[in-house]
Amino acid sequence: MFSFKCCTLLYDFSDLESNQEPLSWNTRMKIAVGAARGIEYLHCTANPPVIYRDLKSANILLDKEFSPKLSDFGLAKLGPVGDRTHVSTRVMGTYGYCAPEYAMSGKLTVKSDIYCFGVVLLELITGRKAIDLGQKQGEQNLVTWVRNLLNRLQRNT
Amino acid sequence: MAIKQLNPDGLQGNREFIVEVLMLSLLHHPNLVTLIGYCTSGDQRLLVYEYMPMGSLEDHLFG
Repeated sequence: MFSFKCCTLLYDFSDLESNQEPLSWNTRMKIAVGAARGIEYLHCTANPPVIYRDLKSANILLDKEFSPKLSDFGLAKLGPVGDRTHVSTRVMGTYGYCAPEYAMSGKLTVKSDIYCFGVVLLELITGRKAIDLGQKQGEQNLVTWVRNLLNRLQRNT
Repeated sequence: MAIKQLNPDGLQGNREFIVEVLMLSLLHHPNLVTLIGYCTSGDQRLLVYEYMPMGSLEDHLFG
């Protein structure tokens, strides 16, 4: 999906990856709230609104206090203005995060970003990837897996 | 600082580079990454960002 070849950093994360602790719940919620504020700014403050189109955990970068910052705006698109509710566009984004109605129709709205945010929220809560081919059949797509779990819960209550 | 190098063979590369520079030049918020600068020379495209020492959320959840 991305044309950028690599991200060359002045430091590497090899220590961080081997020694890192799982993120605490407070940190997870801080990251969710910060990412939501970034999206709110794009949708509600930027004029015209900006649709980010590629919200995913790989694009949420963390500073030393674990405050999140959205990165990679190469797919961003100016949103609809006036009475229009959507812009029509070639479907772009990342498999597993892409809102199904956008994937089917190519009609992009600010709500497409909210769907992606929901997938990131599920990743934060479950620790599972949006698409995880290491899981068994039926559990590889995070949204489908969670939806099935919730349906089962509802049937049992 | 973090430096991102664009793949010169990327199909959408130049368009995405321009969109990235335009968007991050116009948009400023504590929860958006800061673009410090960019440079182009021939088919080379570089983007320079503030350095984010803890990496990405993906690194922490699935690293």
